[in-house]
Amino acid sequence: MTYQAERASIEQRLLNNLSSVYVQFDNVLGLVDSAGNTLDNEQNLTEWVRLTILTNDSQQAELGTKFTRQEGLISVQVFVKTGTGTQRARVLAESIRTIFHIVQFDDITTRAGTMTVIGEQTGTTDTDNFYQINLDFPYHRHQS
Amino acid sequence: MALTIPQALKRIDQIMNQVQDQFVEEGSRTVRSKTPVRTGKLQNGWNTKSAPFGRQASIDNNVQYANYVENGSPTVRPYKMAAQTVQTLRSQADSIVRKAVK
Repeated sequence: MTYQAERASIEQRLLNNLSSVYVQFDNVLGLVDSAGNTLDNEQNLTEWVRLTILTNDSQQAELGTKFTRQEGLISVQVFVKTGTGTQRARVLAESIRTIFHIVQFDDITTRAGTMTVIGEQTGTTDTDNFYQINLDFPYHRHQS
Repeated sequence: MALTIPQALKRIDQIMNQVQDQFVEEGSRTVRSKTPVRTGKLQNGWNTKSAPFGRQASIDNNVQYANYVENGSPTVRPYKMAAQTVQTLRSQADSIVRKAVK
């Protein structure tokens, strides 16, 4: 599995299993949902998620070959409008957990995910802002 | 090589200290290398601390915006330098312990 295949596989899995929610991918300015609808920015949305794939270290997995174990983190930020409560954010977080928590897909294996409540930006009561929950899933794959 | 119980306990203590020191050293180096640099303030803000009693150590950063860089915000993607460091240390744990026991 290549770096590009890894990205495509993770992004596609999220998009296929998360319906009606706009997703922002790495180095993309707009957002897209599972139906293929696109938006330029998140300003008019009440909820959205952002996917970041953080490819980490790789290690030689077998002596004498180029077979390597590649590790990384799948980081998903969940945003809902400030002042709308935490229920929807947690429902979305649970949906994302079922997508990436201890699963195998293509050549990727994920471990137990961690949820971190980040909350609103400090001191912000502005309803144009967002309440944030992070989900992180360590993963590994092999590459020859 | 045969060791008496006090000698064995002393050796275990030495190994544990060496493992802890190695984790802190490796963790500190890794987290610095994974920290994004603009002014260098965040990268230089990493500190290591050992508890005066017991076996406990920490690597922390008191720079005000460290949390935003680690976890991101609606306008910023997360860098996850601490989370990536934990992942790296997990995969190196075996070799760190083996080196200390040698």
